[in-house]
Amino acid sequence: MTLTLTALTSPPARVDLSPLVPETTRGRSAIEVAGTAIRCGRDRVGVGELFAVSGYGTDELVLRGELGRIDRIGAGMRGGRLRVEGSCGDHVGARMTGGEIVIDGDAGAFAGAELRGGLVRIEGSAGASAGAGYPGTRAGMSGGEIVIAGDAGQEAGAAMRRGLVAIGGRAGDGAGLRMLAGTVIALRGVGAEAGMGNKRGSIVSGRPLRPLPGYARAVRYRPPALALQLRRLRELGLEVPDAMLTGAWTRWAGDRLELSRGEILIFDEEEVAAG
Amino acid sequence: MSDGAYRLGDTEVTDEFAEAFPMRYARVVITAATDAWALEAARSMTGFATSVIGCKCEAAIERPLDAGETPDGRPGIAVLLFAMDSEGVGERILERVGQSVMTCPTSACFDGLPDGEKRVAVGSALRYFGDGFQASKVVAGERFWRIPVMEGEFLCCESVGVDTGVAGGNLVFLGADDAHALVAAQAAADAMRGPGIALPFPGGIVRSGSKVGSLRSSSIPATTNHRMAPTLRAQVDDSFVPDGVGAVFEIVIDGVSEAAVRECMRRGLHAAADAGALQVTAANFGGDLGPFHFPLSELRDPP
Repeated sequence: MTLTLTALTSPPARVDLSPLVPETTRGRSAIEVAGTAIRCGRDRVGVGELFAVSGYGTDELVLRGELGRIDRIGAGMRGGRLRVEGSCGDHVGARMTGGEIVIDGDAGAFAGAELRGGLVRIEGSAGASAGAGYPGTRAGMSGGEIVIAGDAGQEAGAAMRRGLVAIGGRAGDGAGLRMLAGTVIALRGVGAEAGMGNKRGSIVSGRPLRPLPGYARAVRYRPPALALQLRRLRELGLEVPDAMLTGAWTRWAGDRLELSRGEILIFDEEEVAAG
Repeated sequence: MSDGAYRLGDTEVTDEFAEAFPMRYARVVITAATDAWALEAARSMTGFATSVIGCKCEAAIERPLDAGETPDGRPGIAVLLFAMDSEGVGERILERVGQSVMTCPTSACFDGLPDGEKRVAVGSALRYFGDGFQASKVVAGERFWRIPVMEGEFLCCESVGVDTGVAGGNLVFLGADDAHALVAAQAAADAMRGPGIALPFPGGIVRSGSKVGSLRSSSIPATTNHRMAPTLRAQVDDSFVPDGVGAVFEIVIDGVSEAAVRECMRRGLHAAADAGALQVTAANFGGDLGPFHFPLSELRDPP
């Protein structure tokens, strides 16, 4: 039986669950896992004080119950599969290098922050800074995929260097802030000030928007690489309209305050007047 | 007839074997906005690729691909390209994708052999055509290069897989005259094309089969197969052309495996017999050239 942790109650302080990932629980019994020390606020507590633990450790780990104050789920994970049945706290999958995390509900801030590899799937919405770099770091996410079925908060993909942040809904303001490279796709559009300081990254907006003045309109065309990426999003479970796969996108190049080699691709059946 | 010879209807099948040897190959998937443009790119890429001796590689269209079979959901063509080693495959692929695929309107280029033993660069070398304006995207763990071109962007996989295949399988069709022999050869070629098979000669058929070396010069690597030339039957002592035969055609087969070549030969043999070939035989070099032998006696059962 898959190792399953069910939250007994909402913890008195925020919990760092990063010690429990498939590679550390593999081969361990429920009793052993229940004895693992984790941080709850300033204190260290046993897992068994906060969770009912059942099953046996394999490549899969399941978390259930009220997990809104449980942070850093799957942080640093290198392989295996972790399923969150419900919503979870901040920093889920942060600095993860491999494996897959699936969150059935919403995720807090910094979901998949500084991701290195693997897949983070959020069936609900994500808080601010999904896939972003932490304050003070130059390069954030450097690989892997973050798929958010709902909306994403502010600064999704900020400082990302490689990888994909795909948002089925809408991205908040400041998406792709200081992006070095990589791709942020928001099928229902991105908020204000997208791509500020973008060097080589791609920001894809499924709804019309007026880019920052640092961007210049290049052309309306059918980007072949984007078609490939959108087909990948379909594989990952996002609903991508056929029109986006076959239709024309307007390419804006920028940010001219940086290299001007980044881009914002905007899907607009009736092109928004430039200027 | 000798022990291994047999008849399929009115067609005599000789007690011969085809001799083949290992070659390296890659599969490139070319897509485009329409079937027609994908075919244009594929034809251009596989042009002048009939024989590794004269063209440095052998290449042919493997099969058309439906939009549902291609990475970008557009119509496509799978091309197989064979060369003597991986480096040769890499050089030829690079030249041909660069000159024949990238130049073709609406085209894109993908790897059709992701699990190949080795990999050779394509997009990672062609990207320099982008003069610094190129960009890459990683999709599902695979890197693609976006090379800006006058039409928009040429999308190309970073590299393609290379594997070991079997080259030099063949069938030789003899007919009463050129028209009858060609009908039989065409029927065979139509039946032989399919997954894992490349027929590199024009229409899959070669009329100028060769022998190694020359009767008169040590500097010529290959010359006409005089023993199978009907016009020379009365003037050479070692002619293989029987009485009543007026024309001979050959189909050379490159395949991804020994089994693919064998079954391809089986299809071709029976199709040629159904189309009225007087005789079907195979070419070999006495068994010294290659490790793969395909005796016609083992192809008697229909496909």
